[in-house]
Amino acid sequence: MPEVFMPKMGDAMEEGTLLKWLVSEGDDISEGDPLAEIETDKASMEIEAEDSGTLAQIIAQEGDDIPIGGAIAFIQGEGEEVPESDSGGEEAEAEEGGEDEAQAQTATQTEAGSDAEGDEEEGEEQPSGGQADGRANGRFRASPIVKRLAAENDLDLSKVDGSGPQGRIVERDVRAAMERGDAQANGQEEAEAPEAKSAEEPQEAPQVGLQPARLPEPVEGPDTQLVEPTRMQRVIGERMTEAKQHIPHFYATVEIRMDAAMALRKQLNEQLEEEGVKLSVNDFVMKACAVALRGYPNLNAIQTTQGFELHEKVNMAMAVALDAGLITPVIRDITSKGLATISRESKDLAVRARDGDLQPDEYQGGTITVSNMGMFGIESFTAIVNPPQAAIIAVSSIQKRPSYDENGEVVPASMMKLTLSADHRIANGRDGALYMSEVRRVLENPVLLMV
Amino acid sequence: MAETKTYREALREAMVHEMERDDNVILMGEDIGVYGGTHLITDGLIDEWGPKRVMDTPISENGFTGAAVGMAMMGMRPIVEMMTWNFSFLAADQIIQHAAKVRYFSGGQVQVPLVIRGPNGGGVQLSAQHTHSLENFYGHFPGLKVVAPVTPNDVKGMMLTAVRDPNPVVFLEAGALYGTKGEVEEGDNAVPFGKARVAREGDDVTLIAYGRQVNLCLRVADALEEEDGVSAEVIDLRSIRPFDEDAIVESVEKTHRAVAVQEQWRWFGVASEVAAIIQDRAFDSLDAPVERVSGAEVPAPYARNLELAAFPSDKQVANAARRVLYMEEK
Repeated sequence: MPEVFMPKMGDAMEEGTLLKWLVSEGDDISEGDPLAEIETDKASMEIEAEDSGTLAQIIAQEGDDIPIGGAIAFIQGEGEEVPESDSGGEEAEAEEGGEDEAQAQTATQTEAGSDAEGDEEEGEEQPSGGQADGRANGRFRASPIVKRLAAENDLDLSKVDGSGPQGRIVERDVRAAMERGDAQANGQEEAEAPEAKSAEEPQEAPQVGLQPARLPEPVEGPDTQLVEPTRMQRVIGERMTEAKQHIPHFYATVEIRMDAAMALRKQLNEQLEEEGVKLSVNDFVMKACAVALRGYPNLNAIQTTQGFELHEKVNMAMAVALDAGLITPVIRDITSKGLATISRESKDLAVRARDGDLQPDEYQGGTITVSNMGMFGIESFTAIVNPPQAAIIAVSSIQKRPSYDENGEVVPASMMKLTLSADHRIANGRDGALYMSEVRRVLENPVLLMV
Repeated sequence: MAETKTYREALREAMVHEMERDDNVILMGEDIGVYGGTHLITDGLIDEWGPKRVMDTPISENGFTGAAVGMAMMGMRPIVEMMTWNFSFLAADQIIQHAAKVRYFSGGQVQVPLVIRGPNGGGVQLSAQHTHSLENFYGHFPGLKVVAPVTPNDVKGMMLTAVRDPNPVVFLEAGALYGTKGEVEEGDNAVPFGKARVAREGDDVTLIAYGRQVNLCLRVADALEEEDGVSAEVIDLRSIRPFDEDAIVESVEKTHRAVAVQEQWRWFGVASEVAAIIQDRAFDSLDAPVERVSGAEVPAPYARNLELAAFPSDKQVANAARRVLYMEEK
């Protein structure tokens, strides 16, 4: 039988939803080719062709619910005819289907038209027929090794200029682009031409394996508000998704008794009051985290095109929350700076970060990040490593707790939790554990911050 | 221990080595005895071994090659000299129709442990009828092994292997290089067939050749290093059949670019085979199409200037390397 039916995929199944067509009308189909994605209440799966031929007609549209045994498409074998002339009823049905399709098409186009940002989702939802033109336009020459490097390193070759004959992209072009870091498929170079690129991205880096979850249409009711993600939100989203998916994180938490550090802070702030300096707990924490790095260079490391680059100087990135997003300005060579300088710089950077006044070189080049949520009373949290760095430290609030002194008496103690998140490709658990206990040692003996 | 010897001396040493080891090893050919050989490869051997081990033959390539095939079938191990490989066309019927096929026809019952050797290729103004590079010609036929050593050490080591091989071996000597010197290992230095030699290590481009073009490639590699800062790897195939595919694939996986150089004409040549193997097995490593540098599509000229123009030159090979590196030609 050349018709394709909605299969029965479970005893309780009555109907299935046609999620997505994987082929288009007119495609040549071989037995076993995946035709469409079907979803039941329990699972989703692909329907495979049981016949070979040409996909003459698509009967069910994406999103349609089809009862078991209902026809969803027609595959025309050699010498067979599309059952248009069989009976009036079927013909009418077929025509109706055709209209539905036309309407659906128009609707999609209208949406895309009204949506100036017209981004990835649209591109993926488009039936494959719509992509043919873009694919033709997006063609370019590249040598085989370039294509391999692009696949291995997740590069977008449309961002690379070719220096070979007829603009062929050759190895030296792609190596140079990798060194500059401006060929990443999900890179930060969004500013250039986001529209053109988002249209090309699905073609250059076809999603293999992992597919994003199917998103619902917005309700658009009176009590809902539809918000476009800002560019910054989108970049943060992409980078954090990439980091969380690609970096094998491990975590190590220590609890630190902060009484000595608090006392020292109080003493220093009293002395420095006239100079207008007020040291924050975070200044102490950042300095301690930097000083403790001395013996653990692979936590102060950058992942590069040619392996991990261990850095001697600590360029401390500090996460600053903004109204819509966050940014990580950098205090350079922080170990060489005193607490007062760190305090001044961090305040200045934070203020200007919120005002949007940072220069690019002020938020680039960090080698490790500290993210502090202590001011919000958070007991503990874990952060996502900030690529290409190897580690980030999550700082939580100081909380008064009962604790035992050396005589076994219960005494009040100011405790703070720090959680390290680190890239397991660069550092191992032992590095993380030893480093975190060194941070604790420094903060519990804060005079060490002075040397 | 290694000693410096000429290609000619190394070749003679290998044959003597095998004659001493095995009484079945005999030499045959035109003028190889009393006259000492046109290229003096066998000079003096008849005095030492006598006319039964060092046989002068009539000017009849098909006849004496046929005789040698028969001897080999009967268990002897003849080494036949073609005064030059150009004359082997007269013996092609015996080589291709008999030597290469007897083992196959007899279901493996009869072997033909025969070596046919002689100078191959051009470069010494012998003109059209005496200038052929026949490695692709003989390499085409299943049943023949074909080798083309370029160093004195390899010519000795590969001759030892050739004599010991139970199958007919076409032994193509670099005729223009009989007088070149090189270190030759003492004693039994048998070099296995089917193993290419990395003549020079490099990272940026692979130059693949055999026979005297290997020396050309080594010169070009030095020039590229000096003039262009390019690190070229040179692979000496030395064995045409069996062929060391892995060696060139491994190298191209490192360098991503390849130039195949051959003295013979471009069409249906060894370089085409090299290019096909690379695109087949190292496609995803390639940064540029494989270049071939070959002889000009004319019968070899006599005049020195024309002969030089008809064979691959340093400049042609260097520019081919620059092209695959996407550099300016010079």
